Amino acid sequence: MGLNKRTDLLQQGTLELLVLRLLRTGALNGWDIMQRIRVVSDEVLSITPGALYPALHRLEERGLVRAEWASSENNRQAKFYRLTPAGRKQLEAERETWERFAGAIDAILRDA
Amino acid sequence: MLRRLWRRLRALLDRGELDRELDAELRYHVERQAAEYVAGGMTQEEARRAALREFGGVAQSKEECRGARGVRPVEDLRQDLLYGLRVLRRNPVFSLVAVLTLALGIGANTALFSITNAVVFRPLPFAEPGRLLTLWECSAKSEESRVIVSPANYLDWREQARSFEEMGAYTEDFNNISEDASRPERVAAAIVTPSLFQALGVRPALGRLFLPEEARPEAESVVLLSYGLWQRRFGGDPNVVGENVKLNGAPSTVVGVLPPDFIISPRRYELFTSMRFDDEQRVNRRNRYLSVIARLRPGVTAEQARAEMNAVGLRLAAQYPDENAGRSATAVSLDRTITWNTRTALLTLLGAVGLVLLIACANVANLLLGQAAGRRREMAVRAALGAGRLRLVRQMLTESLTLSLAGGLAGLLLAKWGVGLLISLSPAGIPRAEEAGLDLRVLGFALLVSTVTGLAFGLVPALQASKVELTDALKSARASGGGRRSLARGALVAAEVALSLVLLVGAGLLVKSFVRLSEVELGFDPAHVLAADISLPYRYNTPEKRTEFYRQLLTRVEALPGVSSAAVSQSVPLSGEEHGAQFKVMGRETGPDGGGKYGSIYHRVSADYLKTLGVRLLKGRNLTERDTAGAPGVALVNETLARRVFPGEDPLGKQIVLDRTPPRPREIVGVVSDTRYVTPNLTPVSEIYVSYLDDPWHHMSLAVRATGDPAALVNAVREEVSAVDKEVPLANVKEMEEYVHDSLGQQRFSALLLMAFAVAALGLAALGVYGVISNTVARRTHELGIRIALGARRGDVLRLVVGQGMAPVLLGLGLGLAGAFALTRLLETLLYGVSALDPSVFAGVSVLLAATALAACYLPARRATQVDPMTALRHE
Repeated sequence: MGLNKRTDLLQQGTLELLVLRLLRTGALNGWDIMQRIRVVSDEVLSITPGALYPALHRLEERGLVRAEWASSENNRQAKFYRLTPAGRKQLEAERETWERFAGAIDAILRDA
Repeated sequence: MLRRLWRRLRALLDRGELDRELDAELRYHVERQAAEYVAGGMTQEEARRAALREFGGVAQSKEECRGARGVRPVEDLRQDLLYGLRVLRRNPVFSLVAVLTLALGIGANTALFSITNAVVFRPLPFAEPGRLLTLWECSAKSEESRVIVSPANYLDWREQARSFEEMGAYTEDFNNISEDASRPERVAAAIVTPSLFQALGVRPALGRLFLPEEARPEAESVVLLSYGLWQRRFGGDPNVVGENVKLNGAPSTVVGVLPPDFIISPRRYELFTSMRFDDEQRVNRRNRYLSVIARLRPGVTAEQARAEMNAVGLRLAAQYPDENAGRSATAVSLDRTITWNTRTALLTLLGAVGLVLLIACANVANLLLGQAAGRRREMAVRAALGAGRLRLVRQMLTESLTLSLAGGLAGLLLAKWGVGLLISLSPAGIPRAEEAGLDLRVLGFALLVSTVTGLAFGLVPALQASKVELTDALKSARASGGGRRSLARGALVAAEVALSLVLLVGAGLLVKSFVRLSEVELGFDPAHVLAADISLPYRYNTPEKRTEFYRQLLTRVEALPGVSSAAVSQSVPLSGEEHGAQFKVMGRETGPDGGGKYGSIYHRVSADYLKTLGVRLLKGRNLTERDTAGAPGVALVNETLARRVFPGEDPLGKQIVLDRTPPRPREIVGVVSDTRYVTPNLTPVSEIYVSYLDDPWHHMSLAVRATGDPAALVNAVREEVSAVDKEVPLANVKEMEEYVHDSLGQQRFSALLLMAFAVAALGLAALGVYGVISNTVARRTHELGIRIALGARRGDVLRLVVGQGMAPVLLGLGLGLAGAFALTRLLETLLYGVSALDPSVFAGVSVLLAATALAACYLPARRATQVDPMTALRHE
């Protein structure tokens, strides 16, 4: 069947971390998040809606984000996600882990 | 936490709302993206398409988002169930056939399980029934030849055997019960030792049980009532305890009522009196009349107890060679003793009905496979829309489980009705069957069977159907049958045929055996004979008084119009009551058991017994009214005894001594024909007839031969009995034909049921074959059309289709024959006069099954020959 492609470049956990980070500054809808990731990463990271929306729903299910309907810039109703306190805590924890991990990789790469 | 729970609840309950939300969210994304593209210079239409393309599998994303909500499994089940019901509704004929087939299968299984559960599986209503054993005397050579026990041996066992916590004994009896001189009723009774109730660990429903001192000969007479008698005769009166009743005319006090399910033997007793051994009985090892029940000590196994009983038996044989030579003792579990033959019959039937269900499963699986061919495209579409293989299998299994549970539910209704039918059909001798019903255990069984059934017939089609080659299936509109699928269907047909053949052979054997049994030469003529039981009150306390009663009664009955002769005897043939005796031949010191003794059945009869029952006198003279206790002893013997004991000699004039007191020599004055006295399937055994005037008992049977319908005589005979003594009741008034009929009850029951199962199996198998061939023909219309267009003759087509249809049938026949060869051995104990490998039965049912399958092939095959080539080709 072969239709089961998941995230292209990003592991599921990494994608969730990115989403949490983007939401730290305020509520965003799915499309905004996709654009931001593309822009912020200088088009290096591209994600598909097929990966993003399930990730958002998973985060919501875990209580890390909360969703509400609001007007978007073009005055259409869109679903906006914002961090919950639990999401904020999770983000801090994950970021530390990530930084240690990235630092370690970085150190190894520089040494070699 | 609460919030999450709320979300889940909402996800479950408010599915539509959440789905709409999800739709809106994703739609927003696509539109927003499209707006971006329009801003970049695309047309509206191009932008929309590009956005959609970029989004990818919308349905799949939705599916994953739903999955993220954590209610996926429940949600899926709900969807599958609804979808399954929709599919089933869309195809009502298929669903109806499947559900009905399953309902029949599950219903029959549940009903039979209910009976088997009540009789065989349900523990006896005593504390730790597994520790209860029955103890028997047996031959030292074979533990299978069990007989009941003499009082002296019983008392020695009680003394010597260490394996048991408690041991008790009982013997059968008949009793006339009445509250005063009126309304006497003769009931089956048991005389029990007080220790019997202790061994069983039973509690009374009312009052108390017997006290140890009530076993003393001088104790007051006390009686326990069965629950049934208490309800029937005393209307369940709680004040019955302490009431005085008369037993055979003697006063006795009711001390208690036993619980409703109390059971110690296949026979039901309604009265229990206390056993008292007098000094003579305490040392009597000749008269064997006790049934012994014992409770194992904790930690002792039945096997250890059997070994100990064997040792004790052999020791007593050495100690009392006169009475016990060649004998030993053994133990059997109490529930086996109570269920006996019924057990084999019921387990066989349960196995048989299980086979019917298997065939039903194969049939439904076949139907599903036939359907699956038509549903390939549907499956492919579902797979393309993102359903995983597991999801497809689960979908199909949900459908089959829905079917089987619906079948199970309908089956339960059938079973409720079927249990009643089975109980009414079941012979009187099946103990505890009347307590069968749909209890929790039976419901659990039905649920289990339904589920297993659903999985059994659903799994293969489900796996097959889910194996979708997307592109193939989507491209070709025509449902071309996969080779593997027709292989599976062929295998199912072969299995059905094989199972049906096993059932048919089994049924054939039982039916043939039953026919043989009903044709058995009984040695007496039951037609036009009425039988009844009589018990005289205690005040007939001398042989003379009893003789006087019987003589008067016989004279009066014989004088009735419509009576050709009348007789009394200790019992009548096939009534389940018989008396054994041992005898020595004067002048012979050696006999078959080394002690010079022979065994025989022993009848005490009046002179007209032979004439009334139609037993033929072959040689010598009959007994007469003058052969009394004071006259020289005489006896009649049957052919079998004459042949066994006096081979090549003339038995007339020989003297024998029976082991009865007082021992006196009897001259053999006549030889009579053999009768099947105990059961019709027991080959004739030795029989001795002596005059009842020697020792007229309190309990005798009256037999009356009518010139016309014996039933017309019942009232007249009753009146004559009352005319002689109004305190004497007449019990068990039955035509001899009824005894004959009832004696075959179990065989009739088994044969009837197994035949019903076999017919059901045959029908199902035929339906299965028909279904497969019809389906093949429908699928191959195109190909057959081409063949006919190219010049194939109708005969060729017919041969082709029938040949392909019959191939799995023949394979099934072969497998079935092999299976039947292996399995019918289990039936051996139920068969009479027919070998378990009877060639005519094997051949007959094979032909029957093959012919049925051929007919089932022929009908659709003929349709194939009528295919119009033009239509068939245009059909595409």
